[in-house]
Amino acid sequence: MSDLHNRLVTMLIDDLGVEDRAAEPGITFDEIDVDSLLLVEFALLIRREFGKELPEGSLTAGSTVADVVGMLQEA
Amino acid sequence: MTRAAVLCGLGSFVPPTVVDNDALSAELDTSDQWIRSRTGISQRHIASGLSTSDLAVRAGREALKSVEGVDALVLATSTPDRPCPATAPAVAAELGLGEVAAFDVAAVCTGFVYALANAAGLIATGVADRVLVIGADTFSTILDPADRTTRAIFGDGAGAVVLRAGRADEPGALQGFQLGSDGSRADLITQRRGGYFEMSGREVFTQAVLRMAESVRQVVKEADWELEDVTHVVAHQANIRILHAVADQLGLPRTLMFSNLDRVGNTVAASIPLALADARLPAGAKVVLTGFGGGLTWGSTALTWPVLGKESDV
Repeated sequence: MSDLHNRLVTMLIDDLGVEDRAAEPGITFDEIDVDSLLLVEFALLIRREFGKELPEGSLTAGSTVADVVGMLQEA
Repeated sequence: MTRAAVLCGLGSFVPPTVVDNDALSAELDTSDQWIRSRTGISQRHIASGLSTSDLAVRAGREALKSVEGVDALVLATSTPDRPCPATAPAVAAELGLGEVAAFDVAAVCTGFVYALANAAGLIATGVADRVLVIGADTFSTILDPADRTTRAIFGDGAGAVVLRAGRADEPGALQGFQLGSDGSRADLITQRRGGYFEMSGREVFTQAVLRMAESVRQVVKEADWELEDVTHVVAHQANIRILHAVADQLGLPRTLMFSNLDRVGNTVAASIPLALADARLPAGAKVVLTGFGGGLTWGSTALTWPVLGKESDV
């Protein structure tokens, strides 16, 4: 796991109160009960931490932390 | 030197009818747990037959106890008694203020901050020495009865302050304003002609957080303060998770964000003065008021909290 991946997982668990299973590779947001409102909060935290804006609607229930890593590396 | 606008009176009113989350759940597909976890709201007050002016008069009367009359009345509302004329003159008449200047300001949930800026302008230009500023809305009258989201969020109420002419360096003096709008996003929070009020939750959440955070940053600079100086943020009571996210964006402790959402929900233009009345801020507190709402609109002001009481006693 990359540092970026670990940092995103830490944000999910520590800042947003998501269950520890967020650290499991390939697990989708839906599987760890991250609903649409939490995804909005996650995108806002990412913006603050990394100064990068994820396109509206790019995070979905089926996305994974690895998908977010990919988006941030492209952004 | 420009005359400053100094806050010297405060009043609030919520209508007696309370609708709690269980009552909403009995009628709509929702639950107390769902509403509280997503919004921080447990109950809201509903006008049930009272008009916006009825609520405004009650809050205004309480705020007026601090002064011997005012020269002007600015009413922030998006649910006026009638489309035309404005509601403010009727409120002034009901309060027995005589033939004072009276007008409405429509900036939805930012309405109260916009109204404060208008009132401060009347004072700075010498048009008025004392201004009653009221925020009042009855959103329960424009909600879709079948919409579980908006019905959970919005409540009715009114809040009021009195501003008087004074010096910029005294407690209570408003230390500048930051105001803005973005009409390209008007559809996010809207009531179309003949329709019910509608809101696009996710986009509104993001915009509310980013706009209020930036507005607070700017007004703190305008006031010549540092962010670390701020002891209380009294923000528009939109949703507890929005308030927390604003604190997170600013790097401020979430405990700085005052909230009375639990008890009253989102009362639109009334929310900031209602929160001020509930907050019972200590004299000397460094307070930022910030709002965000339909328009889109947003705005902030800052003040050192004064000792409030009857003008002759202070």
